[in-house]
Amino acid sequence: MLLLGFIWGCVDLYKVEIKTPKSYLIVEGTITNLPERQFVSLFRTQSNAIFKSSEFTSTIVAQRGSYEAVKGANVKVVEDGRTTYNLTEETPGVYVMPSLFLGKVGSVYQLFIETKEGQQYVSSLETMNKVTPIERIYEKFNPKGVLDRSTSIGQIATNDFYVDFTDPVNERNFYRWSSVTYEIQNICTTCRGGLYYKQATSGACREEKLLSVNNLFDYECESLCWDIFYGNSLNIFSDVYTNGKTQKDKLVAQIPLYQSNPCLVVIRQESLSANAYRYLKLVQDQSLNTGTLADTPPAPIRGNLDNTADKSELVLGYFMANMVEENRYWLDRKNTSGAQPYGLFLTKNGREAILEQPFLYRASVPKSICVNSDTRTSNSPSGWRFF
Amino acid sequence: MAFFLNSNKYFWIVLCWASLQGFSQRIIKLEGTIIDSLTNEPVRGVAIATTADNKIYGQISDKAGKFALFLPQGKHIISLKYLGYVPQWIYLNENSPDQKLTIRFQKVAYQLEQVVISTKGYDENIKKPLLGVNQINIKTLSKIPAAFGELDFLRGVQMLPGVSSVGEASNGVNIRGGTTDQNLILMDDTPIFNPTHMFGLFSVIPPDALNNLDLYKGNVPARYGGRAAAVMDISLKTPDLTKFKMTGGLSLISEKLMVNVPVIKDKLAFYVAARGAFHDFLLPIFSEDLDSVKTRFSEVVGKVFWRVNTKNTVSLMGYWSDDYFQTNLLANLPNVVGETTFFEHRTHNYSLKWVSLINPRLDWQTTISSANYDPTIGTIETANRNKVRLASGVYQQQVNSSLNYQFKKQKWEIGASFTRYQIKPGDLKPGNSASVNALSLPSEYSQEAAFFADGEIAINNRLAATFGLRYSYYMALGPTTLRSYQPNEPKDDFSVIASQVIPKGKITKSYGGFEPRLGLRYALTDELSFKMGYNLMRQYIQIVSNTTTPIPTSRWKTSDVHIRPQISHLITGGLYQSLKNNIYEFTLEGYLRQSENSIDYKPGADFLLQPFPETQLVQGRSKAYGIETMIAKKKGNFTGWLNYTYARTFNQTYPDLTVLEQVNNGNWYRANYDRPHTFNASIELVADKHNSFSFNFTYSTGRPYTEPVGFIQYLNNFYPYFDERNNNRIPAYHRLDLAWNIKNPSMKENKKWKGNWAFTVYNVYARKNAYSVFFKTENGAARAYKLQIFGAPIISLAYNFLYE
Repeated sequence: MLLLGFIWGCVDLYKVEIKTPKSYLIVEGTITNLPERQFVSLFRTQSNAIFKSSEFTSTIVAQRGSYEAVKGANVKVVEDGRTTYNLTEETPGVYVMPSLFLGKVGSVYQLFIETKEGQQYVSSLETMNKVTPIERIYEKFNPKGVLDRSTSIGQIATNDFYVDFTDPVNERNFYRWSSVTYEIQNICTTCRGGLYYKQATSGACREEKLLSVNNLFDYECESLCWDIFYGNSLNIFSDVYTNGKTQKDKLVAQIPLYQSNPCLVVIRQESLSANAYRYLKLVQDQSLNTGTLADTPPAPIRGNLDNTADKSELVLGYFMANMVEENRYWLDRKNTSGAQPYGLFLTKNGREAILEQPFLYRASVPKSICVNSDTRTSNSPSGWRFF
Repeated sequence: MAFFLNSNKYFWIVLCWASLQGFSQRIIKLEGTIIDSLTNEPVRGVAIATTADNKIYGQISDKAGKFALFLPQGKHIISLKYLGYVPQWIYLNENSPDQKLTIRFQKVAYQLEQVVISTKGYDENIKKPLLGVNQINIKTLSKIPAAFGELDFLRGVQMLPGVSSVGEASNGVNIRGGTTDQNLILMDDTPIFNPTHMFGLFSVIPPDALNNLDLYKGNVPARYGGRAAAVMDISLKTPDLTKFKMTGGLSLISEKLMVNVPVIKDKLAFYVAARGAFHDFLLPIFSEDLDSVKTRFSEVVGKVFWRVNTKNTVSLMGYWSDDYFQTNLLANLPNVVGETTFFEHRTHNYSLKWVSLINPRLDWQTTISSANYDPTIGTIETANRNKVRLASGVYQQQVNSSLNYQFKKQKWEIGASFTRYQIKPGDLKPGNSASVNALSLPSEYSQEAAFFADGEIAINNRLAATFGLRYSYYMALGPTTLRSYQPNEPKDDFSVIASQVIPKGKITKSYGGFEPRLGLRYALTDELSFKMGYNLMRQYIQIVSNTTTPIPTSRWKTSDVHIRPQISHLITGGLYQSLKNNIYEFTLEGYLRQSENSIDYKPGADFLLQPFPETQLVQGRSKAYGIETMIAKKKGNFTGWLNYTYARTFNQTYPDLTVLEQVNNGNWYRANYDRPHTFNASIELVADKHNSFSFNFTYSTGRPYTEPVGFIQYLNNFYPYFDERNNNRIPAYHRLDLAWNIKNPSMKENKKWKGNWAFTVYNVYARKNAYSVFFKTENGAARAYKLQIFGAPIISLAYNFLYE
């Protein structure tokens, strides 16, 4: 039965060069019921942007400048048709909700955007539905793991998270699961061709003529520092066949084994509206569930935003209002094997850290500031256990 | 008369005669006279030759057709060849006595056609007014090199002009711009709803029982109805009333056996033919990844033939097929928590046919048939290994009766048929699951009545015509829940204005109309004729599936209030030239096809357990046109055909749909199987009585696929986005196959047991043909891939035997 070996094994990389004919607005934003930073991001793809498979890994990458932040727009969210929340532009194209805002279950939200040029976009009404809590959560070590090309090793072992939950009777429910992982990081800055200097509250690499331009020096963090990883799986579910039943062993996240240190995994079980589910299902069918013998041919996916003047304009992305049930899980990684303590830097970069030695270029070497961002924090995340 | 014309004597062209001969060896004397099989005239100039002990023994027959050879004792294969005649071989062994033979030599031009794949109807090609009719018989099919040595009618027909598919794993073929479900596939008068095993890899007809295949892609006689593009009418063998026969075979894929038993000689006989493929337990040996793939299929056909008396015959056919396929390469049953997906599908068809000869000019044929197809998709739950199944079904019962009358220059058939359809759209069976609910969609019922008349008239020696007229009347029946929607709005859950429960048996909607079928033939000369034709066909049952090729569990849907029947018009014209006593045949055909109410899908259409499929689809039109050329050499030891097709197919959604429902903004766009250029070559070389070689080459333009227009960073990942459908093409497809057929290698004649070997290499030069190009998002990055079904040459050996 040689045949099936041939049949099922044959997937090759394929090189493409794709030119985007026109410009599209991309909107991403989710209102939740949790006290967390909530934002709407507005970007525009450039017309004539080129997406090309890279030479060695065939990863499709965008040319620089393919996306442009939509700056200076007037962005607001209206709750139940009454209360208006104005969003403020935090960084170019990223508009945040007022810091005290908490979404309310059962409320209806609508997003309004007016660009500097006067184009108006409005979302459909999105109701924040209730989501049932996670009843049981457990994880298993998966030595086979996943392909994670953000690491130097590619295929990486994971801890797989499963949940049980009971779907409520008498209502249609749609779910999404996402995860956020906090990993301890001990290297905070890498300088190429330079040295790290620190002022009171900030630090930066400065060029050093004695060093080759490709010289690398890594600097340890001066305080505890966590790298934040957002799970990128798109995991959704509808109760169309399972209404009112308890669901068991639902795989919801695969957390890569970057290092042997314990980490904090936040599993989020979210509600979706029916249309948000449909939208994400299409995204899933077109980019994740592909490569089967009978794929669904892709088609343009309409989100829930329309240009009020031109309904045929395709706006990418979806404005959602999701209730979130969080479970903060202390993953001690005692069931794993093969990872190194404080191995995050090594796993990601494919090399050990090269620390600048004192008295080589200067008497004392500063430690680096852990700069807070979307992907890093020096504030201990809630649920972190200190030894 | 190319050589040695001038001699009346025997010519000895023995080389190296001087070398030593074993004195102890007996010399075999072979004398013969060669005569023309038709005229009985002696044939002069035939080269008779063989080699023995590295020497060539040869001679040319004289004026009286005589020759004589003296050969050392031993095995000899003596060839007899002469231009324009069919070569023959004589076999001798150690024990052969001296012999004196009379050999009847047949002119190639008189020979029966070797290539039985031809553009013939029932009559001479150029005389029959039917166009676009191809007949393939089992002999031709069995010589076409097949993947894994499994005889496959669907791959065979793809070597014909105008027949294409989306690729190797396609579940059916596309004929002249039609979708796969627009072809009516009949096996002994019962429709086949799913023609393939293992997702398109093998076709479902037991090879030993297959007799003949008529492919109607142009003029379709009015006795056929119900599908809009083409008809593939497969006839199974009739049980042999005279002798016990057993055939069978073994290949890498399957085992097969057919037993024919005459119960009462010349009166009653039956056969049973079965094929089974159960070799998947070997898979993990080749790759650990295949551990999760489980696949097996089997099929059984049984047929009873009863010659009641000289005027009446009755035949009863039963067909069962069963498939199981488990893989992670197909989309799973969504929204059920489980790990492995499996497919099961089952067909059971029955037909009972009574033929009564009323007088030598008139016969009456009645057929009762039933076709049942039950596909299931399922998931295995992780913890308790429970199987959750989503079962569905298509059931059709039909009565068909017709009278055939044959005049001297006319032939008429009139008849009527009545068909009942039942579709079970989905039944979710949780098994022991505590997590899944039982769910069932109500069955859909409908029926169709049809009357038809076919006539064939030879007006004079040059002009002949066929007239066909069918009237079909279709009724969608209750019980059902009928929704009405806000006009000028997309049909969806939000635009419903009323919902009405219709009681059982009440007609909810009827459609009907005439279906004229016309054919004209004008013979310009005895060897050259011109034909043209027009066809109208109506289709009331179709597959609704938005995948590139239907999967076995794709949903079937009969027309109803919201889904109008498909109507197709086809205009064809062609030139037929027969050359050199019908040894060569050249055909040129062109067609133009227009269909109304073809089915298209809204983005993200989902038909699984969807009670209102009209909310998921839109209707539109389709146009197809093409030119097909073919040259065939039908006789001799070197036979085969070459064809080239230029064909286009485009679809368009109706302009009255809302902007959001239209595909590609309502413009014409390429169909999934639009492949403009196709070239096929199929050649068979007969080396001698035991060995023959066949070659296939095929080339076609890559099919269209939808390429993203860009990528976005969204929800922590990098996703493609799409705009226009089918905006690019996958790379071109080409492939060479060869087969070496060895007939009866023991070379002993008149044995009861005859064995044949078939050695085939599929995809000889290991072309990695793309089946699809797709984009995948993986951990924050996107990549493009191509999926290949056969990326390497597939070498296989099959053994078949006949015992009689």
